[in-house]
Amino acid sequence: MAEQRVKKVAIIGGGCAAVAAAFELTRPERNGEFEVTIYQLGWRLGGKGASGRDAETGRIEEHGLHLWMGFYENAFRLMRDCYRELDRPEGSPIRTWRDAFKPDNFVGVTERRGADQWDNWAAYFPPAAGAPGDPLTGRNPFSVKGYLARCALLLRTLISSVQDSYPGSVEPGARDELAFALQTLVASAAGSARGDQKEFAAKTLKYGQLAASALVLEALGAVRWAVESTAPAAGETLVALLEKLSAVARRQLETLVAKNDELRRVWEIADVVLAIMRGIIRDRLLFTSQGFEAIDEYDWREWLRRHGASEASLDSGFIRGSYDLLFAYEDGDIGKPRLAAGQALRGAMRMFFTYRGALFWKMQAGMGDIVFAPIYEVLRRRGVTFEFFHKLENLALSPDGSHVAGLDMSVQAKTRGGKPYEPLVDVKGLPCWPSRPLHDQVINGAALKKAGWNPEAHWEDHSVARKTLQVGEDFDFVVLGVGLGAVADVCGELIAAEPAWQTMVQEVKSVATQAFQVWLNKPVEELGWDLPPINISGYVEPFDTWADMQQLIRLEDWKTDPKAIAYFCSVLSDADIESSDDKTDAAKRTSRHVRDSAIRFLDRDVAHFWPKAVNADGFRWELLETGNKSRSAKSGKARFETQFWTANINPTDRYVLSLPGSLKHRISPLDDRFDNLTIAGDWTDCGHQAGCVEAAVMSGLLAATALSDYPRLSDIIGYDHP
Amino acid sequence: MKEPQRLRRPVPRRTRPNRSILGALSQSDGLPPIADPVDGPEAGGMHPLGPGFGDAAEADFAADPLSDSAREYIDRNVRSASDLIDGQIRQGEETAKSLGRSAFSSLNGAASDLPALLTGLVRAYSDIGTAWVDIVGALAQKAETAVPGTVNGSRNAADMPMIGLSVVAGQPVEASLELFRPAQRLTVQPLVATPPGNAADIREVSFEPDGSGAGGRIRIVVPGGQAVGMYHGLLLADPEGTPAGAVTLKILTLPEDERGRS
Repeated sequence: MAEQRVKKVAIIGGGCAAVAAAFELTRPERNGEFEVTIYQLGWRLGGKGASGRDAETGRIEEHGLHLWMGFYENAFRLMRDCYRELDRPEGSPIRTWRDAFKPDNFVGVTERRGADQWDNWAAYFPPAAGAPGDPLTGRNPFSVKGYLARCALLLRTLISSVQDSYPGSVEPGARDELAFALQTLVASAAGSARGDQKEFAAKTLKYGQLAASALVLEALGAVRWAVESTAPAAGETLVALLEKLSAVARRQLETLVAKNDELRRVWEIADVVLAIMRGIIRDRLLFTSQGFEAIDEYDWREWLRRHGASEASLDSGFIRGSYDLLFAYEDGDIGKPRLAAGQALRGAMRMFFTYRGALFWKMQAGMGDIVFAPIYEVLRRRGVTFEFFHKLENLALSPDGSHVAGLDMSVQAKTRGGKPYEPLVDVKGLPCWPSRPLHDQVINGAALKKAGWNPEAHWEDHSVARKTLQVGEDFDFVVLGVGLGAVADVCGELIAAEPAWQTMVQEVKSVATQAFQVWLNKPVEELGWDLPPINISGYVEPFDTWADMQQLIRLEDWKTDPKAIAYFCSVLSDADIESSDDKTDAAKRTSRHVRDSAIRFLDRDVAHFWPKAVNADGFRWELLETGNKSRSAKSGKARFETQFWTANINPTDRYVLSLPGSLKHRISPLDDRFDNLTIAGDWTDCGHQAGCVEAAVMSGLLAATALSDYPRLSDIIGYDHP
Repeated sequence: MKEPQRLRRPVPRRTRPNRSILGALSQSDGLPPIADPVDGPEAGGMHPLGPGFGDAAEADFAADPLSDSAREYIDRNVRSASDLIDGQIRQGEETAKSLGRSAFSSLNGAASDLPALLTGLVRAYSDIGTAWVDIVGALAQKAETAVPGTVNGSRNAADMPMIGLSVVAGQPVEASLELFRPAQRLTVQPLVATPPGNAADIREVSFEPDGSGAGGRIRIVVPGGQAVGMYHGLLLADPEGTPAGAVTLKILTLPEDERGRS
């Protein structure tokens, strides 16, 4: 039998999905079946997850905040396999995946209490058994029935715990259960009155009232539903009466909770959980073959509202936080929160009910350092070729439209002497990506540096050569792993040939994001923050999310270490993106807009988190750590120029939205309309339809399956999730 | 000039997640190689989904997800879960009736006596609210304790028909069946392409009742060369002729040897 020839794969892009596909296709057990080349725009891997190190301070500069969740089974499995194969020597920084990721059990939300009043609330989620990426033992937990069951138990626990016992007195042995998380949640709501027995008695009474009121409402809802679904015409009078009674009961309940924050928080959670349970049953999500997709036409809040959640609960920190977490604002307009209900429900169930180890896991350096540098090193060892500074300009179809015949590339720079570009730099012993190209390796590098050349910018058209890769010669298969924003630009022929692609680029939308990072010379505790180190969302725009990143201090390379690092991020409205024929100038003006918003935020809004960082004149700019050299000369607001901010307006940097009604238009990496092409990215139909690392990795695995029938679909954790 | 040899992707087994209740059963333990054996579990804690996930009986069960016993097990649970929901609705109806009588009598008498009505409603809660939570709680217990070969609290299981689906095709297909409501006998409408186009309908469809009369099997024969695409067919309850469900069939790309390529 003739020996099969090696299959050449061109992977376009170097984000999570693309490198996951490369990792799968080149696993040693495949015996070199695939010869993979990664073509990467600019100087570094990572896509939206790329980060870089500042040359002077070694500080980490990210596109935004990246948190890994405890249910990212596929992504953690990839990283664990990667670190094991990397096998860094003893004594190396970030030697194992356990060094790379640390559990974080706190999640915070801010709550609006009036026009300009906000409260912080930190909830603790106890460690759960195992760690993400461990083999699943026993029956797969991702079933609607399982979720419904846990919702019911959670609700019962919530109501009974507040009714029957003081939240602080948790039963021995109960600490390991999710129930404990709830009790702790309630306990954290109970706040300062823990030791006050009189206060405790009063609270218990109020909780009893709360539970009774809630259950009356629930009974009303259930009766109304029963009437409507069984005898709609005959029951009209009764329904009208029930409406009135509901209104009375709800007013009573709202009066009760309006006077007491802790009751309000408990009620809001119970209310949302009840709505989810009602919705799952009434919409028959238990039995439908579509799983949660059956409700993806609805917005998350709209669906919860349909199933009886109150307006107050829908505006609660947890619900607002779910939108913030996914940048779920159409066109970046905070007045247009839109999130497909099915995906939101899937995300919430997986996040709260299937996490392992911890709810969140925090990377212990930049995402580039933790994820993409190790993957780069492993892939190189396996023989993967990296072609940096390659920008795909057109994906050419064959005359009969059946396959990709050519890849037209612009070469952005060539290396001196034709040597391979060596992209990593050493920061305190850790291989890292620099935040700028390593100009000394490229021809004409000094001039490019002086001109401020940014080969990642969409509007940057500097090109030193063009090349066309031919099918059958340069590649057999293509993995299109670019960001969604680039698809319309480079896939014109595919879009013209296939209506599904046309619909996809029209209906699947993305949003620009903005972020800034500050390094402080005082710990946040000294600035008035009195909760644990936290990731907190739901706050006022334009920067609704803050993450305390103090764990990074030891990995950066300052002459004098800062005492705190804070990341802020949010969506960036399309209306705030400057446009002009001069794209470079427009980008600069947008960047200045983000800078000004950040300064305004520090001056006006950050006092909510750090009251002592602000005086009568606004933010105390001297708190900003500036670095070693010329930066320290700045004073006042100008000192902010020494910090880092970014407007993520490159089409490929835009965050992919999960808009209601749009998810059905995504295309799967398994789709074989073009017989030598697959796609990879968190914009594809990959099973978990959200913009996140896990979705991207799942998509990369599916792309590998598309080319080789491996991994098996059943091995991709959560692909067949309801 | 000699045309370079060109490779094509393998035909996918399917292109969509299987999100039905059977989908979860196909999930494997995960990709080999497994995680680093030196990594112990996170100290303390249990699975967030609580007890019942990870016991030996269910692990064995998951190892052979498509076995007959597994299908029977799931079928039984689906049926009993349906029964429980039906029970919930029935209880709701009864409570609604009694509440209705109470409400209407209140309206006829002292219409403004809302506190009394509320008291009645609190009582009504104990009829329906407790049942509601307990019914769903029972689902939890079932999820945690049920093992293959055990029927837990299945009531009126015979009321729900068991409908199987059999597809004969010479090309890869994905098929799913959704029943809107129980129906023991069905008529299957021809499967029509969506969106409507030039693709021919799939007309060789039938329902074959089983011997017990409590269910049966839908049989679809896909003609050779049927156009790739999505097809839907309505299921009508016999003898009423009212819609009872739908069958969806996705025909994937033709196999290599039928594509007519060189």
